[in-house]
Amino acid sequence: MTPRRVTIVILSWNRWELTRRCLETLKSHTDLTHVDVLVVDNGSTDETPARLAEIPWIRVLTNTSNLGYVRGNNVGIRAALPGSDVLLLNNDVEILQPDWVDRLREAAHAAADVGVVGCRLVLPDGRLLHAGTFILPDTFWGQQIGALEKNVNQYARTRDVEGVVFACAYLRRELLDVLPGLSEEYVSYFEDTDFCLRAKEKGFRTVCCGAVTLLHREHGSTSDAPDLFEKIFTKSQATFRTRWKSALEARYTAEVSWQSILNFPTGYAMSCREILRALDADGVRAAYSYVYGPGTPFPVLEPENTGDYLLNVLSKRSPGRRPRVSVVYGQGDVFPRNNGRTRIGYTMLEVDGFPAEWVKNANEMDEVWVPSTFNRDGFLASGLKKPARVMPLGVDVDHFHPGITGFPNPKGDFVFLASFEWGERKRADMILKVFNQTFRRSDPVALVCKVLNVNKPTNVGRQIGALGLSGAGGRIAFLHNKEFPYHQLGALYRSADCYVSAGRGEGWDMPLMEAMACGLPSIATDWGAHTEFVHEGIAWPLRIRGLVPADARAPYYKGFRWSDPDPEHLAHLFRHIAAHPEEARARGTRAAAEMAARWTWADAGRRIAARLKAVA
Amino acid sequence: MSREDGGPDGPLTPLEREVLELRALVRTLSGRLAALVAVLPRAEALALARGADAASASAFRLAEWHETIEVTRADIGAEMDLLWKRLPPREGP
Repeated sequence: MTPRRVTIVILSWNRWELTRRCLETLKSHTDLTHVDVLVVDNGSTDETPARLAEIPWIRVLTNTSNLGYVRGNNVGIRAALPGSDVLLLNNDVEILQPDWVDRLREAAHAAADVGVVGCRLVLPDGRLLHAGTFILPDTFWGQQIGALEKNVNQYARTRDVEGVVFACAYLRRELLDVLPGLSEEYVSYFEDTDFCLRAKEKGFRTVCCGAVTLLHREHGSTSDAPDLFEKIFTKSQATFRTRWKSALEARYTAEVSWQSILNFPTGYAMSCREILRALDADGVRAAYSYVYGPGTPFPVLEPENTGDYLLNVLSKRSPGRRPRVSVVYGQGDVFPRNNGRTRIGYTMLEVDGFPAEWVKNANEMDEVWVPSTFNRDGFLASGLKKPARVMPLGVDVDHFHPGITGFPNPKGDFVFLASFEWGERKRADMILKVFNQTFRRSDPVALVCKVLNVNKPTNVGRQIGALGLSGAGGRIAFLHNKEFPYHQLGALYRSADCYVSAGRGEGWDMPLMEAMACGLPSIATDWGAHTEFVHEGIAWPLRIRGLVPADARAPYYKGFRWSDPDPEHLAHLFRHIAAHPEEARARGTRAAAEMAARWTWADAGRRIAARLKAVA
Repeated sequence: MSREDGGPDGPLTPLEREVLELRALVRTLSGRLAALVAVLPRAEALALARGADAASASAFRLAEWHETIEVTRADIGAEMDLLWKRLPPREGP
């Protein structure tokens, strides 16, 4: 079938150098067989008109004066070839890949209701600038998803977004037939989000095509004139607010007070961030408040800035004195801080039961959530009388997927990766000893351990020394107390060939799920919350020898048991996986597919949102 | 009723029984070794842990290890580059 013809509309206004680079990269990276290039010059006074006239493969329309971004682009849309789709392209964009038009066209025609397709935009310094946009009714300040993250090929799939910036926007003809241009209520700014929201009203989706990445130099026509920018921006924002306030507020169909922890490097905090994002996407208006602090087992105050625009806004929302529904997501000893009329406690633990104080607190809740059947059974066995629901956590498949750019071992060693806080629970001693004894130094195999220790009395280096590891055994390298930005963590997993989570017990294990989502085959202890999402088809469950008393510093474990992972089986798995890398890769590929199909944060958010709507 | 008693899954085969016995023996010996190592001077404990090759096997060395409880924020690209340089080479020292 002949592909739909596309008219690429490029608006220019002076700055010939930008337009020249845009056209040169477009010409060298684009098959023009089904493409028409139309440059609309907005009354340039420099050499642009003369230079454009010299290029035979483009059409040029000349406006006698600068009509502004919106009206200038509308001139181009109206002049597009009849029946063609339209691709709006800023003149400060450069093309980086040959299949960009085909990919955008495919995304646009993948379903009848796709109307607008944007793409990933990167800055000249290599950072990501854009992978879609969103705007909150609290502030009406548009935000670009992924902005200023190191580019490791995150957001690589095609996904629904609220809006895209029109530096590159592929518009389907079917949409243009009912929505024939940008709203001329705007001179510049907000017109793209406005268009995407109007498209939604007409029944068309906006998607961001992650398979296309373009370079955006961000030389906006008002970037050299801050006063003019502020004037135009403020006016456009007011216009947008008037038009969309009600619609954006109506997007929320439920609300919740979410009492938890956000701004510390803990498992609860990391997962809380993702839950809040997922709930917002699912139409739940969440108001976040910090549940710990003075008077709790973690008496530290939380820093206000989460480093994330959406989460900052959610943190500033007031849940009210007595919210209708409140969820405390944290350890069971802070459940009494729940101030909702309907009170939900959401927690997890790494052993086979729950402390009496947690059970007592949980029995004061209206219902209790845990991420796994393992924890539900443990809670019920410990005396929980209230309804217990399994509410699994998830994984971020935009930052953790097999296409993330890693930094693999340059010598080609098969690399096992383990990531843990140093301590009894994670069995670091066993992993290091078994690996060191299983392999010889000359083997093309290595173990990378990302080790965290913030406990002053513990000297990790000395403890590793005391393990008696052999210099002639398997080679090990450490990342000691290094914290990577969240968006870079996928690159750590993609720098390894197999992930090892051989601890005694887990309440969930987000790092394992992230590694699996990145396509890594994994060794994972066959006990605890792992059993919720790990199985032979996608990983190697590590046998246990039985249960042993949970002897560790954490007071919550006292009197309970956790597993005793089998070191002989671990040695066997190390050997088998290193000797069968193809089988390992295949298992990892299946793991990534299953994570993306069943265990995303969107899945988790939908389950939580559905329950919140049911209890409200 | 346990499997060893001839429970629902049937009686253990002689081979399975031998595996269980050997595992129990390994656990006992590991425990005795750990107790012994605990009272030995460090150098001798390391030599004992390395086994018969102790004389020829060099101890595992931690490259560029600085004990700290401070967590440092790092860039993944730069850090992995350094990590691969720290990884001991396949050939011995």
